[in-house]
Amino acid sequence: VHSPPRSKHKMEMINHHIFSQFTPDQIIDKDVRLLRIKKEGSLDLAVEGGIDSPIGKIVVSAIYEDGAADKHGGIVKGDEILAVNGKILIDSKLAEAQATLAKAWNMGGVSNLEYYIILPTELISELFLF
Amino acid sequence: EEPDEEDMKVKPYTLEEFSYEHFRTPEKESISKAVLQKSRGHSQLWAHSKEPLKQPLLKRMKLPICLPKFLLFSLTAHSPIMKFMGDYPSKQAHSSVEVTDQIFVPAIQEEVLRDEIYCQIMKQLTENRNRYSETKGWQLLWLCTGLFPPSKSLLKHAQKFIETRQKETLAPGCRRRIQTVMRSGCRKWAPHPVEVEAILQNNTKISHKICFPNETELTFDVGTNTKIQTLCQNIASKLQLHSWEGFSLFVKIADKVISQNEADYFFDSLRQVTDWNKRNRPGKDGAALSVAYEVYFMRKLWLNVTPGKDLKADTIFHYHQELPKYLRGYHKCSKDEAVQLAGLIYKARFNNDRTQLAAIPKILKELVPDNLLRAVAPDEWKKSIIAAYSKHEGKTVDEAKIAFLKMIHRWPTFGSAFFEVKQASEPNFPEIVLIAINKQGVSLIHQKTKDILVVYPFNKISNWSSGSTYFHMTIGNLVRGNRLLCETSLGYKMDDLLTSYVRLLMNAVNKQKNLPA
Repeated sequence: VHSPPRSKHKMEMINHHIFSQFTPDQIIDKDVRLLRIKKEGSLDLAVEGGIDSPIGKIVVSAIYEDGAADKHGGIVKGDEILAVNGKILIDSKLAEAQATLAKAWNMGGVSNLEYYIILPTELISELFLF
Repeated sequence: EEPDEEDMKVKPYTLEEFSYEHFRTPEKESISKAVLQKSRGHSQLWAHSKEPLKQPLLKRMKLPICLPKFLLFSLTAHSPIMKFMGDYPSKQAHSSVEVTDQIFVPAIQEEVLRDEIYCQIMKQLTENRNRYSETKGWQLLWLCTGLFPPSKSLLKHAQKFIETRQKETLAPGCRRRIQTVMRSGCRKWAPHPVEVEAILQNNTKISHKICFPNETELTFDVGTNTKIQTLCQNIASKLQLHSWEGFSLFVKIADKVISQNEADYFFDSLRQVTDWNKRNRPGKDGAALSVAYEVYFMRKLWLNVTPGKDLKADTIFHYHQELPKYLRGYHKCSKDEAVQLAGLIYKARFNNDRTQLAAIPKILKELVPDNLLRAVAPDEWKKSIIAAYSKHEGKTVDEAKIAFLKMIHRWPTFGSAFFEVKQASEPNFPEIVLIAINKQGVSLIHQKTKDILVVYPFNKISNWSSGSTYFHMTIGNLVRGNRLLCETSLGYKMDDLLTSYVRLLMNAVNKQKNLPA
């Protein structure tokens, strides 16, 4: 069972200006995209990993039903998060990333939240038999 | 009204004596009320009252004990016990489980709160003139005595309290339950909705449906203090299995199948799984309390499985668990083998009914592995499967199942759990590989050719961990070892399976060591 199809119209390809935030080796061979998620209700997105974990990166571990991330549809479990509102998370520990996400979401002002994520990480095979 | 003879003989014991030493003094501001109530004979702190408690009953709860304030508050200000008994109607409509959770969850976390709950329940059961409230109070005491015992100092008072009320239907059971919970240990989770619903109907015996892989089911008695391993033993003996080693209970909930830890209480484990599922889907509020689930009994660890040795295990479990994995095309299997096996599958499913033979091309997916479906034309498959099936006329359905198992038992991937994962650690292997976990260890399999790329035996795997999106394993020592990092959403299952195999193998080794030379 594959991840649900993403609503492509909500995703924007990264432009040159934004590209300059990352060093070339950070995003080489990667499909980096910018997501704008409207700040409405709660984000309901969980992350795991971090620089000190086996996976060495910040990855979306769950998207809860009817949250802003779920409604946006452009982000799925398994996606790597590179940056949130300009703050780069590539070398972050899990707690820092979680704090950054929460802070960015709860901070007034910006009506959209910008995420740079690496796509696509399709997690495969939910089917499992003993 | 004339008191009847029974009442004359045994005077119901109260917490009066206990209260002198252990209860706080009644609140000062309520003295006027107390005097007022005294005239009606209701002033004592240890007797039933409709007045919500402002403070805990027990004196020691007022001492500066290290206890979060909200926990104490939860048992007094919200009066969940009175709410449950209907003595204190609440404005909001709460489900019974919500209220029992308010009562028991804090006490399960903090031992010091347990006596307070016993005392509050017994207080409300003393000189209670309301039959409804009294019945609910005994139901609550029934639940409570299944979770944890009273402390040493309260124990004999509680026992006497119950013993002098033997006319109450639930009293003998409550007395027994205190003994049981003292012997077998406290529960770790609050009562499961099934337990609460049962006692609200005054059912002290709970029958639970257990499903098997051959699509049959049986019901078994499960109680507050039934451990998973006891239930497994009961199931195995009822089904006449030779042994329950390697078998496990699983909870199927939504799209997940979760293995239960055999050392846990059945309802603790069930509660843990349903709550975990609830947490993972916070969007669904309404469905939270009636989470649909099924409990399965299946083989989890395939150690010492030789087809033909245990007829019941083979025909109820092994055949029906191996067949779907075989049909998914996880094993390396030749066309000739597939034909032979398809003949046996047909026999096992349709026995002597030859009318379905014409429909073979339509049900090919249920007879032939996925990866071989297009290797031969459907009519070719049909012809050779009919020929293979015809050789098994003399066999019974069970014999066909065992013959199937004996054939696939020769393969190194027999008795595996398979996972399709994405890996990036080993550049020489494909990005997407099949991982098989079985008694040999962890094997990596080429997804197309089904060749085994590498086998990591359990004794070479030094470390493993998992998250929602990954499984990680270290082979060899940390300095010179390899890492295997897989992207998968089933990491928690690989983790659990590996842990269970290693534990079982270590137990086997230790048993060997302890044998006299």
